[in-house]
Amino acid sequence: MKEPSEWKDWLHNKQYETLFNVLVENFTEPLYWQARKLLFRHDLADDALQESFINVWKALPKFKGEANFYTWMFRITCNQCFASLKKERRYTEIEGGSLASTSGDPFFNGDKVVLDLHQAIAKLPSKQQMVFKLRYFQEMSYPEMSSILGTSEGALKASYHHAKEKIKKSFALH
Amino acid sequence: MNNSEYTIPKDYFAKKKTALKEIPSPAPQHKTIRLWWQKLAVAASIALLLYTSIYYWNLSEHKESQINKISAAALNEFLENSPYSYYPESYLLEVDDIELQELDIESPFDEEEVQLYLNQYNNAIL
Repeated sequence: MKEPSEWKDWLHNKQYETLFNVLVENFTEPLYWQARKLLFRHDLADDALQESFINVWKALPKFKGEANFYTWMFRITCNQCFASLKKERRYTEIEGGSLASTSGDPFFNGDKVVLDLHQAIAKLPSKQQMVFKLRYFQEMSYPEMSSILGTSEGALKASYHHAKEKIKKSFALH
Repeated sequence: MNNSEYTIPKDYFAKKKTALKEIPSPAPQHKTIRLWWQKLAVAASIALLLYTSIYYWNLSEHKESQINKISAAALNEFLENSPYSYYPESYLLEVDDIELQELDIESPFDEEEVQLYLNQYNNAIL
């Protein structure tokens, strides 16, 4: 999607509210689905989306408009999802919450294989989860991932490899 | 990954967009007011700290200057005549240095009576 040039005009003229409403109108759905692919559960994706838009609103005056709005917002959403994964991971470790990320989600209709895959992914450390989901489900390149997560490409490749091996092992046990 | 595995509540996006569009309205004003109060609180704390420091500094300097105004002669006179004053040298005296015979204390008791009393009760006490 080519973004209209007037969006950047609004940014430079500090018409933030007009711009924000347009961004909400255009990017709520794609960003929700990005968050849903990373977090699996609707409630988590909904929270991440809300937080992401709050961050977008706060950061709009600092955004120079060098990148596309969608690229910038996607980055913010990814970071929010990563924070959410870390929080969930802490919850499952400390509070003994359910690791099965979609097993209790009423908005999930996947079969048992997908559910098993989700459970295997949910057992991974948050960074490995994030890398695996971005690479496997979203087919994102390592340079792109590197710029979003602020990690070297080598470390990302290693994370992906470890994640894949753990998931394979988890499926072999079933 | 297929999105069809994932469902969403009815009218989710319409409701969500309405909710998201409400983010801008209260946020900046709220932040401005909060920042203003924070700045005011910091300024007030600094002012209070400065005022207290200056007050105590002035007080101690004032006290010192008042003492300096008293002449050495007046101070000596005070120390000699005041019932609460003492010569610092008196602290340097050892108890052994004081000879009891030198003390010119008038006793209300007769010396012989005292001696008699001591002779009478000395053994009982020991």
